[in-house]
Amino acid sequence: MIVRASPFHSRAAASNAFNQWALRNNFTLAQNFGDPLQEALAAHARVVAIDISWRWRVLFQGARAGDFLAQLMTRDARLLEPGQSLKALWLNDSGAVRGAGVVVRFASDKFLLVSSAADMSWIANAAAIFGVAVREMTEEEGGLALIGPYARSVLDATGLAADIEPLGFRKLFWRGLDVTVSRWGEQSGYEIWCKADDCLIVWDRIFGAGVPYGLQPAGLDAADILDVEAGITRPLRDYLPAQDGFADTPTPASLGLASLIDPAHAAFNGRAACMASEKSEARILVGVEIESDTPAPFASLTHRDWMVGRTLTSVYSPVLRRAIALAQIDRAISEIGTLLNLTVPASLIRTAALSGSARICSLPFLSQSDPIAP
Amino acid sequence: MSEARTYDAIVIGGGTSGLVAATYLARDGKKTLLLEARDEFGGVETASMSADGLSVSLAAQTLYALDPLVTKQLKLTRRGLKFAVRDMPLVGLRSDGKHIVIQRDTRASGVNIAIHSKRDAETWPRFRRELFDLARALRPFWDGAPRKPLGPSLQQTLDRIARQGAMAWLDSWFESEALKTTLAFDATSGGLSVLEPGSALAFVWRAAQEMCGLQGSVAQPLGGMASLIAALVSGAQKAGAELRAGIKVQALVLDGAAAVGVRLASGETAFADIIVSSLSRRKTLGELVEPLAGGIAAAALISRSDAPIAEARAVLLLRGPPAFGGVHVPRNSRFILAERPESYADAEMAARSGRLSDDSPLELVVPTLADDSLAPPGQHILSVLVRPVPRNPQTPWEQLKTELATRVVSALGRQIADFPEQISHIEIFTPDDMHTQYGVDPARLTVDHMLAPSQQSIETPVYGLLLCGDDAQPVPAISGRAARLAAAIATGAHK
Amino acid sequence: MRYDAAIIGAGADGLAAAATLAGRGLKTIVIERNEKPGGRCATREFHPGFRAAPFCDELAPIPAEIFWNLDLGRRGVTFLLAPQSTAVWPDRQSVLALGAGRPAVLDQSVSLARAALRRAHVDEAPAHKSMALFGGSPPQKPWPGEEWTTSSLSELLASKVDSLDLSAHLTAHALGGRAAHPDLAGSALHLLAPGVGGAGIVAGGLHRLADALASAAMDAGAEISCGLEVAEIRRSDNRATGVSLADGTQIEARAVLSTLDLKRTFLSLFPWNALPPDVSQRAAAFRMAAGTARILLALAKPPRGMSQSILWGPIHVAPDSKITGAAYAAWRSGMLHETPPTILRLISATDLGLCPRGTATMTITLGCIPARLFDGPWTHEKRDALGRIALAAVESVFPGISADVLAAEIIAPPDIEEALGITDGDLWGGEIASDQMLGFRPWLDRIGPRTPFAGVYLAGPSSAVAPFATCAAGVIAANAIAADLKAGHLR
Repeated sequence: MIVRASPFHSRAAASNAFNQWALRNNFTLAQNFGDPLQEALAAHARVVAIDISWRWRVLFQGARAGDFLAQLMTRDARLLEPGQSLKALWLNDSGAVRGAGVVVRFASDKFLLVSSAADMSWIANAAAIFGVAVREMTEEEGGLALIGPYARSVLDATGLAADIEPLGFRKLFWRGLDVTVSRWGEQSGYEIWCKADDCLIVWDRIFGAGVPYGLQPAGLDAADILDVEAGITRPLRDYLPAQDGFADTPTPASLGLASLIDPAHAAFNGRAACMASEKSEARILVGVEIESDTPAPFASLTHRDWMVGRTLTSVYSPVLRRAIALAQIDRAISEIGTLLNLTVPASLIRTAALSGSARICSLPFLSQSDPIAP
Repeated sequence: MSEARTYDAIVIGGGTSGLVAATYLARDGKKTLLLEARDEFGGVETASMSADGLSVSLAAQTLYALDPLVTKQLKLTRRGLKFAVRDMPLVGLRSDGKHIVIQRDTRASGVNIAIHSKRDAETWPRFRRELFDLARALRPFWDGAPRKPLGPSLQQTLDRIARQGAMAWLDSWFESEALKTTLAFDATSGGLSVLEPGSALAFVWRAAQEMCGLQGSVAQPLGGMASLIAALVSGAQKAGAELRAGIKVQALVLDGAAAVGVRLASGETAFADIIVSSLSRRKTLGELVEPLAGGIAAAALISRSDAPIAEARAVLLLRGPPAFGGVHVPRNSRFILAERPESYADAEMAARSGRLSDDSPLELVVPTLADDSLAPPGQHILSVLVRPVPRNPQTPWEQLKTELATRVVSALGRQIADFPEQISHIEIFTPDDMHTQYGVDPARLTVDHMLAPSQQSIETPVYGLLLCGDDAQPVPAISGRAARLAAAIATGAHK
Repeated sequence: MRYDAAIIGAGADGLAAAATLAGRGLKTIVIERNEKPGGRCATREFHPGFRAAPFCDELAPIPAEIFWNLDLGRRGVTFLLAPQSTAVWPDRQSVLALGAGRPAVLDQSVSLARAALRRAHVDEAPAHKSMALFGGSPPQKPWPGEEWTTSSLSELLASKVDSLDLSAHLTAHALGGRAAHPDLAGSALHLLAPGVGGAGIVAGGLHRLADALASAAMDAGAEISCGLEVAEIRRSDNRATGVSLADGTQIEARAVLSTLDLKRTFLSLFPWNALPPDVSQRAAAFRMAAGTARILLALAKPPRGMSQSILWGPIHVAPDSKITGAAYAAWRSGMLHETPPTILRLISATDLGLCPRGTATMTITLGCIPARLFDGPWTHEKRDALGRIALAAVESVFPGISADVLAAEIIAPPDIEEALGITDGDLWGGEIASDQMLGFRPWLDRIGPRTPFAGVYLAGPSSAVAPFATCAAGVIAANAIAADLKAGHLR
């Protein structure tokens, strides 16, 4: 259990005016660089750079790597051509979500999995039984995400050819450095991956070219705001991945991830249980707009005195000018526009319970391409 | 030539469990195919050595867990299964000659136990009653019935037993070493440790079995296991099952997450909706299917289920009947030879570190005293079960055979007069032999497995694939109950 | 004069019970065999100027409410928690964070232990788990940590922890100085009550805790009599009437609380024919698993070559599950293994007042050391052999340190037995096994401080809560005594 510093740490520290740090996946990362709301607004209006070196990356190599990933993930990785990627989940034996990520095919026998949370022992043990070599790449490379309408312009300005289709990637030799530019992230942005030793050079080059576009760094708080606005759940923040091999929660539908399962994919781990339970799915993921400015994370939602669900991560969205939250609601009540009551229980800090109302709306709240409301 | 044939059910493995499963499936009207890799049916029960032209069995000589329903419904008695001894007493051989004899007659046992400890003799009837009461209460559960709540006192006893090691449980009842040492052998079934919780449950399970109408009895079949196998084979054939020997199953054929058939070593495929495997869970889900097809968590569990402790058998051919010294004991008994209660823990610790113990507990029977057809005329078989022994010793078993033989002979020599001169032949059946020649590969036994509903042990994550062998039972033993229940699940699901 | 309660043993439990009882206005006397109260909360000056706790560096944590109720903070008790534990092999190290950032499995074990403690607070009897497999809804809620009862430590860690080194490290952390095999089912329970303790080192020496507890007891009005040994608990009419001392004095009390372990309480404090057969049999069958030996080293100078953060916490010497298993097998046979599980602690790095300036004090805790050796009792030669084994282990981590050793005191299990009056010298008052933990401790069908004898109560190391928390057993027993006195159950 060692806490690691991101390869961009020294540059982040220089900008981290208020010394706000947080841990993600055992990396120390900037929580915000002063004002998370302003950073989120900048992500919508201009362009921001977010350190994503903490994303868990694993390389699979071997003649049977494709077969293994097909058995592991809910979509068939063998259908990918080298250079293509797909988003999928991996489930435990009872159909509960253990993780979600992007599978990238580098070659016929080489795949990369990028995810928000690590699951090394499960995947490595399974790969060992299957006969596929697994190597964790998280510490070997650093990654920087450029998010915002001017992300493409910044890349062009630095000389990185950014003509990439969504979910695609390109390996480039950029003025002496080997980098990969990809579009694997959920927000419509670009990611630049480079060797850990080159990270500081990459940061300086990007920020140098980004000055005319108002490029600024953004921290985890702003990334969370963007996630909630886009309706994205992340493991360890919104939910605990199924730790046990046989636990049956959380289900894909309750996390809004059901679309990442391909029913036509004949055999993947947990398929039987998953197919059997999807009809009886009790809770699904929706978005709620809270009639207030105060976020209400992990609060209970009631409808006419019945408890129908709870919120997950909740943030104040500077674009929508109100607090929003991702929520898990009983399927029967989940119609868009329904008004619910929200209760935040008392805690050590705030000794009175808070109550308010929230309205169900569709996800995503905003996509990157929406024009910003005045 | 690739020829595909379709059946309703395919049974993999022609040992006792496979034969029982095939018979039940065929009786229910299913077109059933049974495939056995060896050239004869019976599995490990057919292991034998050759002596004077006669084949002498290396397998177990006693039965204690044969399902009474199987015996009745498959009419095994009519097909030739008779018993030479119906209720073998349990004798603990002591070095001072004061052997302890435990038999069904509680009073007689009490008189014998009183030689060692009066208090234990008084406790004995109460111990037996409590054990048998609990066993009777749990029997329906082990027979596949849904769980029913036990009364509070039985529940309390079960809780205590389920979390106590056998030695601790015996210590809580009895004080005499002779009695505890004799009783403890049965707690090591399946490689259980007398120190770990759950081994005391093995007593309850054994007490829940019934042979020849007697609860908790141990019986010796007339003609050895061969007569049981013959009865099962004839029953299966009469029911209409197709039995094929000499055919090895290479892999299971899956369609998504469902089993649809088997592929044979010859390349042919046979299709069926129901596949019942009497092989171990590890072999079925780890080798016969694509890796991980049975679920990643299940595969991880299998890879952690190695059993470090196994049993070995030593079969000695004697020129005459063995003469036990000390007090007179009934000859058709099960004899336990172990010095002290600590011998079990010591032997187990030695087995875990890959060595033979100086003082391994032994169980021996002399089946020829009641049935002289088992050996050449005038000669006698001494069948010795040595348990616990290491599954993977530091010196490979091939080289360890002689040492084990020496230790067994010297241990027996202390109890039997003129012993080494009597031996005309000795053969050691090692865990390696059992595995490579007969595929015996039990998983490590745990208390959770012993108390799991039978359905959980029989079903697999693969739809249509069921287990019916040792791993499908609470405790590995020749029983047929799991096979009967597997067939019932298979036919019930398809009605 | 007739007391309301007589407490046998002035260890942490006894003193906490006395403070609680006296605080409720009950006349209480504590009778202690040694010259000073405290039991294992002692500091011994084993070499001029060098002091160390002879039996254990850290106790189990003291529950917060007991700490505040007895005002231990103001009475001078400060706990210094180790930030991390280190495991050192010849070629690598492993760091286990013990505070923030510790592995999830440690978080889980701490919360399970707390839940078990809360559960034991409520004196339910019989409070055993009914197997959830049986009968619809179990009549009793399962104990927290039940799922760990039948699993082995190696299996539990294999499923929760990625790296083999961390697994071996956590195994050594859980087993502490005990004798146990990590592969046997039921050994996962050790993780609920780790052998290394968890409360932290008491600043100034462990005796400060004893002093604080004693002052709390005396301030509340309890009497503490030292240098007296209790020979028998006297009863008449099936009720406790007091205790008899070894010198013949009788002390009358309405309730008697024994803080000795289960075996010593029932097999030595009652006349042999006073126990019903099932009680005496169960007490005899209760298994002790004494395996701890301690070596206290006075060093001329502190060792070099390790960072401060490592020296502040326990150092496990090359933990290896196979070697632990072999050491356990040797322990069962009464033999000494050449490399028993070893934990080093440079206590002077944490608490500077324990030795003169410029020097250092180190404690070594060995596990799997038999209380009785197969070839006879513990002689001086055998103790020296133990010392050599320990020193070899220290050398493997700090090469050259033997030259700096000024003095060594070797405390073998019989020494612990003699000093603390605990059967076999088992510091944990009984084997940590699935039939002797949680709902089955100390009795097979009841927990709580009450015994089958009216007026006789049991706290001490064999209690259900003792492996999880210090002082809790005494306070629980005191509350039970006060409740029974108030309800009129005791004349």
